[in-house]
Amino acid sequence: MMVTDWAHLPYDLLYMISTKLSDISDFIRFSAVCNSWRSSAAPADHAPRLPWILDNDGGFLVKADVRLCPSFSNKIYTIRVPHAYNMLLSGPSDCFLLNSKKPISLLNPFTGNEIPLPPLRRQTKKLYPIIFVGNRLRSEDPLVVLTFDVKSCDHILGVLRQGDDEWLVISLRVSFGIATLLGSFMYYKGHLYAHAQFDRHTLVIDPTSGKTVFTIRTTDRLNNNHDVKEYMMESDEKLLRVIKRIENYQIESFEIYQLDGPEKGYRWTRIWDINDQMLFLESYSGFSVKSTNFHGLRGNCIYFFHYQRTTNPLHPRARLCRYDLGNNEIRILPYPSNRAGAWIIPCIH
Amino acid sequence: MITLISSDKRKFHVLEEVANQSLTIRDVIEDRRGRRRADRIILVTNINSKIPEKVIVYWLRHFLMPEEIAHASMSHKKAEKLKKWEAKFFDTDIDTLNDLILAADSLDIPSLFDGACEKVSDILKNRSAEEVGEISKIENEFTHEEEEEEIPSENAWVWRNEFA
Repeated sequence: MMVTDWAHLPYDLLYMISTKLSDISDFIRFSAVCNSWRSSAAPADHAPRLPWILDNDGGFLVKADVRLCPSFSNKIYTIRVPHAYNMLLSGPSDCFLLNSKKPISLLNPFTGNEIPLPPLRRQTKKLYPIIFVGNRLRSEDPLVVLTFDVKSCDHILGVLRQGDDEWLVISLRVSFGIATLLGSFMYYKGHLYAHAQFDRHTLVIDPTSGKTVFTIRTTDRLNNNHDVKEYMMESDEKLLRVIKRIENYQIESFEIYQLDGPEKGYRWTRIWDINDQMLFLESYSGFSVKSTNFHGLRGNCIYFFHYQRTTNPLHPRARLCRYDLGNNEIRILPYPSNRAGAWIIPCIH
Repeated sequence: MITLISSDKRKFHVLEEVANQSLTIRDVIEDRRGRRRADRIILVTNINSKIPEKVIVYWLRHFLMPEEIAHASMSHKKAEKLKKWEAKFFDTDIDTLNDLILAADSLDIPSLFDGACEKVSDILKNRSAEEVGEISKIENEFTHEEEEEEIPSENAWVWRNEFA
């Protein structure tokens, strides 16, 4: 008869168990049980984590406490990051928030780690706060930030590639408002894509020279009655453009377009399902992950925030919703806050 | 038909097709193919004695419902039924789960291994380190200082009270 010994299970078995914990707080507690559990649970090479929600209304926060809730759990953690006081935070991207107050830096709210960034030369007082754009799942991609010059009415892009010690600054003059540009921005396979909704084309920018390589025309409809939000994201190696149409506090529709490669002459094609991918949308940006990595979450779905009208018209209430592309159903999910949040993928390295 | 012999010398006769779900056993059978009858006896003495029974029950249920069918063409109702059955199967004490994980690992039965790991992680979810230690009977081996200082300060927010 063998004696059951949880403390001395082989490392690879303990590792397998720890990978099934998709909530990072369970994972940290797991590693606090005993030494062998601790050493078998390596955070760095761990499976992707379930995104959390940063309760900041998708805007900017200047305070020391970061309120976070694990997705779909109805819990809220308040994380105290003492040196975050007086920071101007935006993002997130991956697990980092961007502090756009000089000196600019990246902050991981889960660990309090702060990574300094080189100063952005064009950053003056006249500029709007900087916003993070780009792929938040791959840390080797360049860091892309966006801001707006009120004087010249230019959109200003800062691109910082890994190993560079200076930002590449790109000015864009296009006829769209800043809010429209924000979401539809993406770094994808070596190029920057920016979609100009009112010019009805997508700019493809070379991030080393800052020059526009070519433009892609679009044919999707414009409707001024709708509140339209645009997102661009990489999903399963493809570039997707998602359009959320809202009319009078009601979701009118979601439209998903996929970029066809050079062999089809670069164009946006409407698609109707995304297989086992899940799209996560917030105020300005979004990203995509495979549902098979997350036990118990449904694929072919869009997870997003939606403001519902309440009795007080000044205070609509945010709901976390799931739109199922398979049956076109929208379902409200548990979410403990009244404000819309931003998705953040927790990591502790 | 092959024969498995457990550590307490009990014999289990199993159809080859059923036992094939263990990749280890499948390889052994493949190796010995065409040899004498006596070679169709496989010792599974490295696993806890009450486990072969459980494993065979699991095999039989999955043999009736092969994985490929389970994914491709199984009706929603049948899938639900299998899910319910698995939940019941894994709803056992934590010691048995430990033995199941070890058995599934040494016999190389991926679906059983995955299922058992998932069940264990479900047990660990939303529990503090002390509770987990109690359930799994693991002595807290961190020194007092380590426990007081280093670990909670690493990710303090996990240990602070949370509110719904």
